[in-house]
Amino acid sequence: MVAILILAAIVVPAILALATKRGDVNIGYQRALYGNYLVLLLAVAAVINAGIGGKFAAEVVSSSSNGAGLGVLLDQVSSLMLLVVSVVAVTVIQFSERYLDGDARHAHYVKWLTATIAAVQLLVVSSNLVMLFGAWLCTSLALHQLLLMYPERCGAQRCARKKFIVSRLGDLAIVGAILLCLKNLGSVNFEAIDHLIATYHPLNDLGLIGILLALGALTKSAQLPFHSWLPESLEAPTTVSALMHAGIINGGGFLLIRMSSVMSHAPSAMSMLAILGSLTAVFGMAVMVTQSSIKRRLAYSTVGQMGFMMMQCGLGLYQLAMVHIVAHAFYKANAFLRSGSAISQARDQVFFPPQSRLPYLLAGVVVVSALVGLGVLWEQLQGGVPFTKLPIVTTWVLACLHAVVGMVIIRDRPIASMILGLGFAAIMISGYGLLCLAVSHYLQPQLGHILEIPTTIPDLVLFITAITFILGFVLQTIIHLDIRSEGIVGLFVHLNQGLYLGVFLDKIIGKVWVHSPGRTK
Amino acid sequence: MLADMKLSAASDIHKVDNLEIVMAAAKAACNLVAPMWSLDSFVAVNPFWGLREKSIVTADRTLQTAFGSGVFLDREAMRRLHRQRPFSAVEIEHAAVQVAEHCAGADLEVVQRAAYSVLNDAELAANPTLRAYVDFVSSNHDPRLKELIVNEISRFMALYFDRGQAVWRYPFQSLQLFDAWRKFVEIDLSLEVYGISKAREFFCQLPESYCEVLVKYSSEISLSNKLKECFVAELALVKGWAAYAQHLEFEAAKRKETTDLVPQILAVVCGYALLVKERYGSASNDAEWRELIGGIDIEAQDKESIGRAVLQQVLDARYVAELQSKLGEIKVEASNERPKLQAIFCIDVRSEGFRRALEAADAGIQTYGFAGFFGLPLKLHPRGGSVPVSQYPVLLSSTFDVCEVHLDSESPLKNLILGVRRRIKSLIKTLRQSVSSGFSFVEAFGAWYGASMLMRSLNPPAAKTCGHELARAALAISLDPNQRIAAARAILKNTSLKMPLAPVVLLVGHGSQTDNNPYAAGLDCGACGGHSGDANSRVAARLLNDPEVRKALAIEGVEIPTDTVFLAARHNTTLDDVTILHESSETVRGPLMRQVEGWLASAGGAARSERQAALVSTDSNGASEADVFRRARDWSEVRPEWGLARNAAFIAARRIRTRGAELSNRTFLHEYDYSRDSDLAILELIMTAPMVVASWINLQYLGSTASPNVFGSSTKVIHNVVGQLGVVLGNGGDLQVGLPLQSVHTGKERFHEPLRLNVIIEAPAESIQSIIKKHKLLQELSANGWLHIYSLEREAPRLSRVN
Repeated sequence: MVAILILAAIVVPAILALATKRGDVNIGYQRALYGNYLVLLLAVAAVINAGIGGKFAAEVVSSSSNGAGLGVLLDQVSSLMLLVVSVVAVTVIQFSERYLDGDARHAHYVKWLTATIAAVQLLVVSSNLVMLFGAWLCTSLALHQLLLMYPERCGAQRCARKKFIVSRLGDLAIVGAILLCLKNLGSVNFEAIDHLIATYHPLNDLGLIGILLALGALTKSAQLPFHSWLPESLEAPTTVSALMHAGIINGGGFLLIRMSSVMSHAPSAMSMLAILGSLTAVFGMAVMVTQSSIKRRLAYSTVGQMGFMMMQCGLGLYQLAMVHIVAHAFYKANAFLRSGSAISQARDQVFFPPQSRLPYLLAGVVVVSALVGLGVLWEQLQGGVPFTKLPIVTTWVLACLHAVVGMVIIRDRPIASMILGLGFAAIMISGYGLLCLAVSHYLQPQLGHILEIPTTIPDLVLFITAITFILGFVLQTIIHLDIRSEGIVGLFVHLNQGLYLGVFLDKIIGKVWVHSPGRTK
Repeated sequence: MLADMKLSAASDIHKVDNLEIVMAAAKAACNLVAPMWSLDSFVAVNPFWGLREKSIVTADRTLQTAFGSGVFLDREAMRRLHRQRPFSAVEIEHAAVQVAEHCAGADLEVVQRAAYSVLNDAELAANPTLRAYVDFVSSNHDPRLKELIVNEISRFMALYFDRGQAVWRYPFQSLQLFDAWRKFVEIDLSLEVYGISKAREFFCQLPESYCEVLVKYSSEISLSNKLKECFVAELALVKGWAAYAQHLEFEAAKRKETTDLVPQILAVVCGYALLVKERYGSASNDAEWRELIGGIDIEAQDKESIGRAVLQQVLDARYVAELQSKLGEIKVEASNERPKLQAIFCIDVRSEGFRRALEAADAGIQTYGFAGFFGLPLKLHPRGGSVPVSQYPVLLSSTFDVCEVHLDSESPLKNLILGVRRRIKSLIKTLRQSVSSGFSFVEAFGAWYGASMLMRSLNPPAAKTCGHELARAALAISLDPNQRIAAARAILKNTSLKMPLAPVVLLVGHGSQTDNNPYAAGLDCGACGGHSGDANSRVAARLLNDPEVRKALAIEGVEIPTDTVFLAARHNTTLDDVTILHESSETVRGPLMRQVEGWLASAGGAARSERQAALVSTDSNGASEADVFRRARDWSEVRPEWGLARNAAFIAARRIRTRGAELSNRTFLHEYDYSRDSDLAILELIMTAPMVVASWINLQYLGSTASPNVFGSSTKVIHNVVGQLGVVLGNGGDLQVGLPLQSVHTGKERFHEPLRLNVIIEAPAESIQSIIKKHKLLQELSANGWLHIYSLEREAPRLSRVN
């Protein structure tokens, strides 16, 4: 009964909004907003419930044999995710009301926005893989309508088409995973799967399921080489970008965390995720720093951030991945909605002439290395360095280094600035540490509490990920030092074009898809 | 048969290779592009500036063929107006007489018929428009090609002109544009990945000098007798970026430097055209294109343009008639009593409502209109090392500097905190946007953004008036005593301030208050270069309060009563709230001050409710006083205020001629007293500076309203700020010029009514004429129909046309 109410709370506003008469935009907004406030309240209740160790699971209609059907599962992971999606949804809906005021397609927009949000929320509360996939498909199709908000724009058409093709590829992978689950595990219900794996260790074929799920997640979360639709989706309103980058793109990561018990038995899939994820992370950020438009910069930043999250999943650090999803969703929703402030921020930007200060740079590196060395020594005395934390430690050390380097290279008063940079890095680390502790404590009943990389992941993978991030740091230092050799300039231009992957995919799609898919007007 | 003819026509094209002819044509084409300022100092620009030497009718035709959109409203819009209120035969006849003057060669009969044809005839076949070579070929071969090339050019321009958006700046920003482009295309693989093989090799073989590329283009592609047209067509592909470059040329010219950025952009486009010709061109294709271009005369007499000009003239005349009737209602009552308060406002149309409300508060209040920079072209150096701000109209150059300085009374701790905050702020920016630390930053601080966002949704930020937010540092003015005296004298003279001076004289600058709005500067004071006018009014007040200055002025016979105090103030145009900017050194308190503040508060309330009515009638949500405040602080608001929309007239006269008249925030009001201007120096100043600026504003609104996608920047909803200087739509494409649709349109209908500026000057027609004769620019504007000038008789509310 409660499950029906929860599903109703999610679906009814969407149905009402879809049923709103043309032109009655205000009523559409009211319905969407009140509905989503209700879901937000539900999410808060669910998070509190999960926080005290409870979980809510109920089936509405489902096959008793394999668990496929309609049901609700609100455990630690999905409650938190529902909360994130609802906060973003409420913000985006409220923002849209004024932002799109007077737009000729406003009515179309409200309908599909509400529908998209409801589909994402259904995805999050799904109790089984079949329902999740259904919601996944609905999200994609409803989002398609939002991407085609201005169908007369060729760029919008092309992006929607590209996204459509990539998503269907991902769908194929997931359908494959569902079939294999049914065949090998006999159920698609998440709880049943977790239970089965925990008790019987049926390791056969989990590897293939893992790879298929990973492929599905890679397409959804815009990972290499499927990413190029994301930076091209800026033809849709700013609010759609905010929702997409904060609420929808995480779907891939959510799926992996949901299926973490299966993934943990698919080391090759995890290795693939870790390597592709870290490559995408550095690729996304490296392209980002060369972009001269705000939204494109944000879009590539998302590609990179999702890569980082995928890497965390690949390394079995699901708690950290969850922290990343939550933090990034909020950060990016805000950044997109705020993108109109780019000019006023530039207006009161403080202007320091850049100066290269090599000695101070070296001093900064020495100081941070010394601190890290001390930390390692301390850990050693405590009983051995956890080698398995290598990639995570690397990224954090690099961030600290960056804080210091960033301060000393271009600022006056280098020593004071260096101390300031170190202090800031310390605040950053402790803030993050506290957050991680809190979240992993919260997720403990579901994901266990050990923040360690499973030993099934080959050391080589760990090294590759760590080195990828170090390369990123080297690139950043080159940028800081303003080195302009021919090779570096070449790199700049290629990176600026996203290594041409977008044009390349366009060309392939252009060959396959000769007919225009017709205008939706 | 036909194809054969085309082929033969193509083969005997006369080759053009004379460098000078080519460069002259290129220059002529480039001059058609009006400049566009970057968004941080987004001042209104006449989008038709390059065509001011032509009559408005010809310009309409030229723009129509070059960009697909002219000056006036299109046929359909005119017909809609006709249905709402029919254009009468008498109106059309009157208007036709005026228009016939501007298009030599067309007689009255033809002009009138043209107007009726716009209203009644079936849709004509559209006039052919110029098309860039790349555009033409790509529509025959591959529609994607044009988009790809425009995006490539735009992407390069964004990198080249970027002012700090990208963390990693394009390494060749310091080279000349064309050279930087060559470096770019010699590396870039996009075209080759797309399928144009060896594009890089082709670009390597292009001539080193951009002039040579233009020559190559003219000899290989264009028609010899239509060179300018060809160049116009090519440049139209990226007219937004050309407009931005034009602005850089404009600024360089003020520094007495010459640059040729726009021709270099033209050469870049021609470079791509040459590539496309080599890879996709065919004789028949080229011939077709040449036939198209050859058949177009961009300055031909066009019936459609004439007809629309007549209808526009009717609309303008209707407004003037209405305005004249309002001027007629005025009772003139001159009193020589000492006023209780004098307040000088910016001529901005938004001041009109507030002035009216303030005057209504007490008969002893006088208000004046003057350019909001108070004649002080100063460069402000903000505290903390931010970039200097140009606080003057873009037509001028700065003459002195004003620095924000630390006060001795401020504690060193405050300074330290300021320094730490600045560093942390820039550190956050660095961390957020770097390859190696972006992840960790987001993880550590993401939750904070979530919390603040949720708070914003649940509890939108309370409305505060921005006067409370003003942190004011002391100002150091780099003027020697003589310059100070001269500046003070000029302010008193040019504002026509009436003696005896009131005990309090307010110098009211203005600024807007909006959040998350890339076009915020467009709502600020245009006379202060798209910034708030605080610094200028504060400096003006400082100068006029200076005892040394007053002593010197007294010797010259300009007596400022000892009890008179000049106070700077700011008119927040979004809230219609005027706040006095007290200097920390001043201690003007007491009953008089309380009275002044009371008047300002009540005037603010009245002006706000009037403004609110405008918002109510245009907004589906309805509006209340709280709604006005919300708009100023709402980060999702796309219409925080209407800015200078609906502007229609510029009145230079004594205030008694307009005092009490309800002018609906549509008029620029400049104080002018002909009897005190024997040598016409003030009139000359008004007509050459504020009037021209008003005309720029007026035509910008007109262009952005009549053609929102060509001279406006389309919808804000998909705006993407690029290079910290402008916006592109969605993924990329050309830079957008002009105002966004939301600034002139309610969503249901146009809010701005496209009218040409109706200038009304209270001076004899001969005097006005003598000033026009002295200045080429004024001759162009008035003779070509870019504005209307009327002379207002001194005693009667009678207007007579001057141009």
